[in-house]
Amino acid sequence: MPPTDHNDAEREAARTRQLADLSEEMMMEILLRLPARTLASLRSVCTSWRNLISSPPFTCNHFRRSCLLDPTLSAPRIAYCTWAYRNDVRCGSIGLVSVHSILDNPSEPTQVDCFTEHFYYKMVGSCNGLLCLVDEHAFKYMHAILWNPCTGFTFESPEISGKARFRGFGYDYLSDSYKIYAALKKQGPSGFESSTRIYTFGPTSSWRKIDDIPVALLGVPSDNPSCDVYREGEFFGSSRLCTINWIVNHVVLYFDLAKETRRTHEWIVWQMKEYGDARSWTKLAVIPVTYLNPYSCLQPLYISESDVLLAFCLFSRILLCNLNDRSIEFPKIDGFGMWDDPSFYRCIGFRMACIYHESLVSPNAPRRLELVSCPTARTRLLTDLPEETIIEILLRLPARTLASLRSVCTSWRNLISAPDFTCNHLRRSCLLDPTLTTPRIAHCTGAYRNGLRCGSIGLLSVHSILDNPSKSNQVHCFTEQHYYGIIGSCNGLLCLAHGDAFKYMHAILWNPCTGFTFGSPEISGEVRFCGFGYDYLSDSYKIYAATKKQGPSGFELSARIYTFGPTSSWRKIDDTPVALFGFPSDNSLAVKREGEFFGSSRLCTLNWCVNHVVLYFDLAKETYGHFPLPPGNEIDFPKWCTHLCVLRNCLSFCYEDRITLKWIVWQMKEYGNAQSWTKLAAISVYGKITYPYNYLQSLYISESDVLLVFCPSFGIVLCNLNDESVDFPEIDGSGMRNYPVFSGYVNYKIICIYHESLVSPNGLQSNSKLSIIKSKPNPVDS
Amino acid sequence: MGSPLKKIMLCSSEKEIFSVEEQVMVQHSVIINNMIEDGSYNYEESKIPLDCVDSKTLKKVIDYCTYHTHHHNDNQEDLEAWDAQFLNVDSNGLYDLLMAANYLEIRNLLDLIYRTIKNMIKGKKIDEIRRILNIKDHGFTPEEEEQNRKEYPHFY
Repeated sequence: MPPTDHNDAEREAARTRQLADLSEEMMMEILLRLPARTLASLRSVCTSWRNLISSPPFTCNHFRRSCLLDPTLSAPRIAYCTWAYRNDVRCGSIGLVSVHSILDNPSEPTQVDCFTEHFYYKMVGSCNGLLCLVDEHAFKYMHAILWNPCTGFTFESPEISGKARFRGFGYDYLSDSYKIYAALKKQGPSGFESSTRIYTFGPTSSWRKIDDIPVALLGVPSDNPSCDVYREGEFFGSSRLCTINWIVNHVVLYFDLAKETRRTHEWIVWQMKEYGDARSWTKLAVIPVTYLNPYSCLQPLYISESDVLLAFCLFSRILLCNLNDRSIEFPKIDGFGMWDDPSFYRCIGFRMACIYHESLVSPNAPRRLELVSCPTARTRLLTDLPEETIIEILLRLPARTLASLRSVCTSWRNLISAPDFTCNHLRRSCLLDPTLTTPRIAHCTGAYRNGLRCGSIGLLSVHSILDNPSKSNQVHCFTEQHYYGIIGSCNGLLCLAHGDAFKYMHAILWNPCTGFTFGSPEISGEVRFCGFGYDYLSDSYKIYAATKKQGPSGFELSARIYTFGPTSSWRKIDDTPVALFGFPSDNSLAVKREGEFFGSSRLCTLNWCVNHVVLYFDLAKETYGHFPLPPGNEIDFPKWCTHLCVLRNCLSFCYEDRITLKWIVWQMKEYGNAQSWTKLAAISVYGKITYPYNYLQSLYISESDVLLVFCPSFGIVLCNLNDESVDFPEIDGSGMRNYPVFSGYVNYKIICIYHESLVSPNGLQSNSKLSIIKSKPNPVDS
Repeated sequence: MGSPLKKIMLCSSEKEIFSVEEQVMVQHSVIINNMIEDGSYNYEESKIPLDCVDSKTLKKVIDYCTYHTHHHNDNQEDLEAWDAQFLNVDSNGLYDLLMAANYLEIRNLLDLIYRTIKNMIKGKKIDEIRRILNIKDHGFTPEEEEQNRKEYPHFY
């Protein structure tokens, strides 16, 4: 409505000006909340918006948000290949359809966006909103095209000769790059030659040869075009693992997420709850396909919140299958393409459709060592190596060694402390080489120094305990004026708190490997629940604390978050589900106060075990939720002897069975899915440990299935899960058996596992005021 | 791609010419593989000039590639023993090899050299590392150096 009054118009003009004048940070906060599709169009608003929306930090942040916080930022869409006529000439075509519009209104026709092209494109795969297509000319040459349909970004690879037997596309978390894999076959002078190549999308890269695929496993050479093999591998990625998976000959080169068999007249979809663990295959759905074309082959694409499976079916079309009532529906889609021609399917191959989640992502330019000039003068010293080379060498050393190498020279010190380097090293240790970061146990206890009681923190290596249980293991002890308790650990950082403080909490972040320390401001009140973890969304470390305070109408529980940073403070957050937390409960021993951190690039939560459920707090969304404990235990769990921990990247739950007196360990193979609770172990310690306080806390599980547990009255106990033997390793001067006494003073966790790293929160300097822990290793006399 | 016995010519910084089986270099060097594949190499006339690789180093690089092509299926231990023997050179030689492997983009060799230098560093005291890598100016102020020595006496 046009303003009627002159003053109104002026005010209106003034207001618009203010909106446009918002600082870039504020504008960014606003734009980050818009879906990728909208943002793509907003790039046309003005150049500053265009630059902002296209900048890598923004696209990366937006992508993280869509994974962790708000799935609506990135709408899933189907991309499929078909063909069309243009000026009466047959040409290739790619159709894009919205998944949500199909699911929401199956009976309403859904519009398809079509892109026609001179060539027929074949779909290799999709990942992070990028589609990878290949164009094969007469099966002699091929080149790959990377396409972000949302932003219109395209990038072509160089051509490579040969016909691809197996292909796959995915994202390499380690080098932060997109890669295409191709096992090629071509006619050479001496028969068929095969070679396996990797292409990393980037301005200067080429098809790099790698070692050949295990030919026998892949079932080559079989040249039947309709053979039962998907040539296109399925990408499975997380920050711990990224693989491309094929199903071949019913056994597999890397397992697939949804395995399909054609033996019955039903399509069966399986899910692997924990990637790589063949025992965790779970049947997800059985779809009767009696009224489909007998040769049709189903390709599950997407599963909605309400358990509707969207599948793509050759010769037919898109099919919706409700997994709850097994009903099947064929949604209407306008201009979907011509399916009935089997010749098209033959020349395209198996994969014709895939799902992608819209994003703004485009690959970073990969870094390659560039030699500026070659030293002709013969000053060939290893010290003259370019910085990139030094980085490559240092990245191969364990965190512990690197911490000491900081003293070699200032340039090494700066390099090893740089956030880029520490982050790269952490990624390497997760994805490539676990030996870069050794697991260690941190343990709090009390000690005497000069005849006075003081706190002590002991650190000892998990591997030395596992390798030589009978040799005495040395503990590195740090003695301190205060008693300390542990809130949690994550990425090599320990979060400690004054253990003897009941009316306030003062948390300290400590990286024992680098010596970094940082203290948080104090928070007053009696801490009832707390937890420490890493928020993947904002790339920051956070403490959660719910404190009990005397309010006007009795005790109140209020929750606050502290983000480690130079200027941050305890921020109050929304309502605590008081009833779920079992508050007010008069028994302060009833539940463990420290939440267990469970994190991945899709989810990061703190978990507590309360009132027969796991209560979680999502660090990215700042919301609460809960799911049930393992089934079949109608006899109630002993209330204060339950324990949550993370073993092999799965949330695990332990308790003592009151009848058999065994310690039971359960693992949740798929986080949040209560059906995926699996029993890992039942440990019988009865008769071996006799003490009223004999409740076990699982800490770590080794490759060879040895579970390392902490038993308060005995210290560390090793339980071999294969032969059920129990071992008590020798540990020097740990003071671990002080537990019953010490726990009376400290009301936090007193033991935890951490994996050494060089990490410190972004841009934080140790604050020296609280450098109390930074004392040199000093064996304590106990 | 040609038959396995086709030869290509490589020319070192001293203008010495080495004739190598094409397959050997194509298998290992990304750069040479690209040259052959995009057709910029002419078998009759061209030789590939490698101006920053001297003859001694180039010979070693060719040895490495040849051995690894022909002994691809040997057991891992034998290959590792051969690699260890191969890299038993002084630090100048290591430096030259690293530069050559980087220039030719030979990933296995690069990784091998990186690992070797890593092992030179691992488990050594700070003073030793400075000596091995010939670091004369470490850049710390005397105060910082003293502080470090006091804080981590077991490193020195």
